[in-house]
Amino acid sequence: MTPRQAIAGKGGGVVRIAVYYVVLATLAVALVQYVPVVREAMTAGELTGIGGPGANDLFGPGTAPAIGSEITASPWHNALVATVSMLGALAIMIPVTWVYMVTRRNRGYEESVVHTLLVLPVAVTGIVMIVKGSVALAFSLAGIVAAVRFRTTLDDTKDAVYVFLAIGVGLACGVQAVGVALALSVVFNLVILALWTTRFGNIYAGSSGGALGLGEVLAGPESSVGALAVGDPAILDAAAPADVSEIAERAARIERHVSEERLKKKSKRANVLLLVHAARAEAAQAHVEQQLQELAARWKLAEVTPTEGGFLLMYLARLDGPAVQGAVMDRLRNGVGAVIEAAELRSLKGINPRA
Amino acid sequence: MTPSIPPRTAAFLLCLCLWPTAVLGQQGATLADRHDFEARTARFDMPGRLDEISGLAVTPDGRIFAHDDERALVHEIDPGERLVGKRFSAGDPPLSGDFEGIAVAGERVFLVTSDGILVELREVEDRREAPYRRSDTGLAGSCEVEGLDYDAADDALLFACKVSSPESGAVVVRRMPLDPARGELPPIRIPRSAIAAHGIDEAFQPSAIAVDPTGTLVLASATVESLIEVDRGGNVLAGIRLSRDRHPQPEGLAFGSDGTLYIADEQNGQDARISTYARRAAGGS
Repeated sequence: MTPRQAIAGKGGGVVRIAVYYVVLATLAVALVQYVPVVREAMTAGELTGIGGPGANDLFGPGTAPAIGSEITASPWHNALVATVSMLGALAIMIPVTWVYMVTRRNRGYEESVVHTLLVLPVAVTGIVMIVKGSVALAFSLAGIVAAVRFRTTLDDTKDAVYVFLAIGVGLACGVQAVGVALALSVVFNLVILALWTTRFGNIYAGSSGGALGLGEVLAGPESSVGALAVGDPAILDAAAPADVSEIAERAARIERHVSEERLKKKSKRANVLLLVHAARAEAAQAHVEQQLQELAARWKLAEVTPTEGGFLLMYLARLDGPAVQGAVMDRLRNGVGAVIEAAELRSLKGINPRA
Repeated sequence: MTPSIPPRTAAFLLCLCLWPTAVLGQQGATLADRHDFEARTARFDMPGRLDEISGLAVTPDGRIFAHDDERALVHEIDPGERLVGKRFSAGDPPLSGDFEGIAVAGERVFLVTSDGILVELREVEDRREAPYRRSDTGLAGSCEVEGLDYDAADDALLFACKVSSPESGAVVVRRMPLDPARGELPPIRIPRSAIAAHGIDEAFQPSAIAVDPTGTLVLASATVESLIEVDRGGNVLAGIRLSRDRHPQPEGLAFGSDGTLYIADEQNGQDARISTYARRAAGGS
């Protein structure tokens, strides 16, 4: 089962993540109880069994034996604790990547970011375990990082937060506080899922609170600036239906087309509503349809409505991915002023069929 | 004719009769008789770096060692001058962990974590890193260690357990000789019913342990602000409720060689406090 399948469906996905965390925590508690190496990784213990100046002389052969089983400081022991800590970091980040993938499913995400979220904490854990307690090594590390600079551009500021989390989990596991890393991961995922589920801060989220209704898509955001649009925003604002009854009528007309779309396979279903404002409908239609013919997987003219000073053309189209959507709008931009006045693209993803 | 006894002889005979009474009376008296817990002898607040004292121990030369509760860091306290002196640590930076108790056996200083990891170190100069070694007592599965002391009579370390399943009906003290070849000594089980019989809440969970110079064991509880005195058979000899104002959270317990009782309290973020209770004079009430 792929992570995407595992998370599919909000309710089931959350339960699966919760079950994963419970199993992980239970396993950790059991292992801490019975496996000293895991206990060491979880309880911020030190790696060395005998330490301090002159320790080997003082506690060497001939001295009173230790009470209990002496914790020896073999390099393999250190390696074992480091391995447990790094595996802990990996296990803790797996549900974070699930949440990342499911919450970014609609907008798309890069495979490399997902891989980074899994690999980065493992690397940070190892580095922190090497550096821990040594100021000299810490300075050396800073020097190395300064020399080998990473210039990665992230699409979304939230991706940067995920990277911060990955570093935090790595740091926690590196100082052998795997429990703290687990708590960090749980709380982070809870917050992200809560924001995603409630669509907190989303301009469309106001009335329904759930998936978008067709009326909401047609009404558009409070300002056209937020939508993928070309042309004068003033034209778009002026053309946007302000009257609720007008929105309802238009939604009812479009609903028929959207209903037909729902009968199609998901991979062929229209995913955007393209609104084109033009003074002359025929010329604009020819220009738009030429672009859609070349770039869209499929498209359909839903309605041509007379407006004040022109016409509004509404297309249902399937434009696969942000790149294609951007290309369509780029081409339409070339027609702005000549055959069309403005155009706007509104996503139909996540639309509530009952709304 | 009535035989007469010379006054000197009479006085000698009187002393001879009273001496065993005084000595045995002191030996037989309980902790409550030996100390006046209504009248604290002295109290001194610790500086900020010792906000949370989790354990106390008295060295053979009469100094007090207290330890940090999250690091293997030992602080020396001069009870006469009420001054915090030097400090030394196991490791640099100090080992971290949930340290719960300290014991001194000759030159050997022991710290223990709640999961039974024992850190043995030696006293060194101020702000120096002490040589140390660590060992796993194996107590983690059955005992959450809350207190540690050295019992010279058995030449063993005493571990006061907070969680003592499967003996949930008893408070348990585990005993491990300094010579591991002797094996673990039978634990001391103190039935909760016996604790309750002395007027102490059955919810008593030990937070510290110390060996009284008379040979009995004294356990403190931070949860119910009480002390109990027990013998090695687990019989409760005395139960003492401490004033909550005076002892909000007793976490450290130690006896000086003169019998003075030292109790260390954490104070919810305020400066830690050490209270002393002097031993009553022999025959005193």
